[in-house]
Amino acid sequence: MKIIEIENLCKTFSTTFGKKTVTALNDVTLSVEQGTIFGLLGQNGAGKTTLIKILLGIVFPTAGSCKMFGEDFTNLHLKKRIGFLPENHKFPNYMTGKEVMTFFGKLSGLENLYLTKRIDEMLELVEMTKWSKSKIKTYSKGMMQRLGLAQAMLNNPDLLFLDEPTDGVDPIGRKEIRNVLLTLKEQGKTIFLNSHLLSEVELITDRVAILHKGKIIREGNVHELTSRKEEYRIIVDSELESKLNESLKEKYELQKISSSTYLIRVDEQRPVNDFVDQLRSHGISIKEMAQEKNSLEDVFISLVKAEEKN
Amino acid sequence: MRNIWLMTVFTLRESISKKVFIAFSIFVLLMLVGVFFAANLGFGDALKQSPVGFDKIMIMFKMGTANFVLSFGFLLSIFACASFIPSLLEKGTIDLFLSKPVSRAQLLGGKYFGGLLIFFIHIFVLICGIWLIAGMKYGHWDISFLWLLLSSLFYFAILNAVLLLFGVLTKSSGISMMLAYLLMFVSPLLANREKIFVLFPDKNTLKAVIDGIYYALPKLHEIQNIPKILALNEGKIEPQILISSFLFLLVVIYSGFYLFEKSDY
Repeated sequence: MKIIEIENLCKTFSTTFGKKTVTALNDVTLSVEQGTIFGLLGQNGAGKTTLIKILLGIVFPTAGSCKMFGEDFTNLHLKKRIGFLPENHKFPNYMTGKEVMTFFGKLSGLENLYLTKRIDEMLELVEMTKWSKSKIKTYSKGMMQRLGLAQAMLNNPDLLFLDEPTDGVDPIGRKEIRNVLLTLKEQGKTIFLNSHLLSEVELITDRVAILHKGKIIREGNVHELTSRKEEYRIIVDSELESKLNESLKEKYELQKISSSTYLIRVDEQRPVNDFVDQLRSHGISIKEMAQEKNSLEDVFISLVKAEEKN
Repeated sequence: MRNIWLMTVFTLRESISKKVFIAFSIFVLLMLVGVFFAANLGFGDALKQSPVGFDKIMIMFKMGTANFVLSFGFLLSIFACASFIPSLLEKGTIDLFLSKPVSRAQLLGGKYFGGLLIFFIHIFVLICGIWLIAGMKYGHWDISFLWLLLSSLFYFAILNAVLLLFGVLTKSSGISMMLAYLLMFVSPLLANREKIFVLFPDKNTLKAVIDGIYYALPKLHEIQNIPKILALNEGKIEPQILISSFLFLLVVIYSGFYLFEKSDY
């Protein structure tokens, strides 16, 4: 089931007197399936936050349509099923963590009895229980992010929007946030993630879309985007050169990385299975074999550069 | 209603945290202490023997004192409430509020009523305090003095609406505050425009413009004098004062809400 359906979405911002216009989103079409983690990637100013803000009714689209849970996105009651962690959010700094949670929980329509229980659970989940009675003004950036995440999950949302959730969080905290997100995914929740920390996105997202200057330049699952179809890294128990015959060496493009590690390029005419058969027939034992991958960062940079050239 | 109430209480909390509420409360208490000492100066007997009449002179004393203190109260209230809307519209804050299942009208309405509540709490203490002091000291329990509660609330509702509109429009508490103060200071001048017209008897166009401005703007000066007219039974209150001021209030509030509903944040 599609949780988010966006069609031909456009957003143009104008200055006060309309002299200058900035196109933030240009004909964006995408959809997000239930129970997945979707990553929206892009440089600063690419339009990622604008897209989330449109879905949440914070910014109004210039053209196009959006649906969430099969309904028009402007229906206010849909927000009861949504959680949001904005980028650089500001909580009232005179409140304590628990007071912030109580206030926003009530604003989300939660009843007192459930809310009290839920606040304790969420603060525990993000490891903020110890700080729940401290004023927000004493919190570090990482603590603010944790509290923001707890606040976003307070109403047990089916769809969670996270704008740079690991911003300012230390590596251990990031791992914990990743684990929380993966647990939510296991529970069937859908997560829409905005980030420019590509290595993080790569670790948890199912699908990603790359947004450049308001346009989607690539969308697909992470494996599709990052795999290099024709290359395999292979680790064997002995040196290959002396054992392979010349015809095999000529047939396959073999690159030695270390004494027992090789990179092999294959294609439709030279399938990898044939190469494995050949190794076995020569009595060579394969210790490890894996398809070579690009990092998401490599893919992102090459796509953006290509787009810039065009 | 629940969401409006939540936002109203949130606004009250915000003003307490910014110490403005406490400053306002201290001001009101100091004024009441001042009135208490003034009432104990022992001129009660002299007032009773006044040829104007005890009732009249007591009403004038109470009204005069209350209006004098209220003028400062309005200035303080504008200062206290001017930041409520701009602080809501700050980046990182407005996103959080708008992502909740609360309509924009409820958010803004809660902030507006929050400002009114802060003002009302203080003028209630102030006006009832003056009324109680005068009642206990001189046995003067004239209920009509309490009309000041309503007229002051109406007066501040108009100023608060100006803060709301310009808060939404400019996101600046400074500009909103300046415009509210301007409205306060221009109102007595416009109310006494006939006296100003004497200075330039031939400038009919200018007179028409000033008249136009007078009828378009709220009659704050006249509103402040309504309780005195009612208490002293001095003439009639012109309905246009209330109607045009109420219309101004509605138009300004509606414009603020409309802009807030249609804006990107």
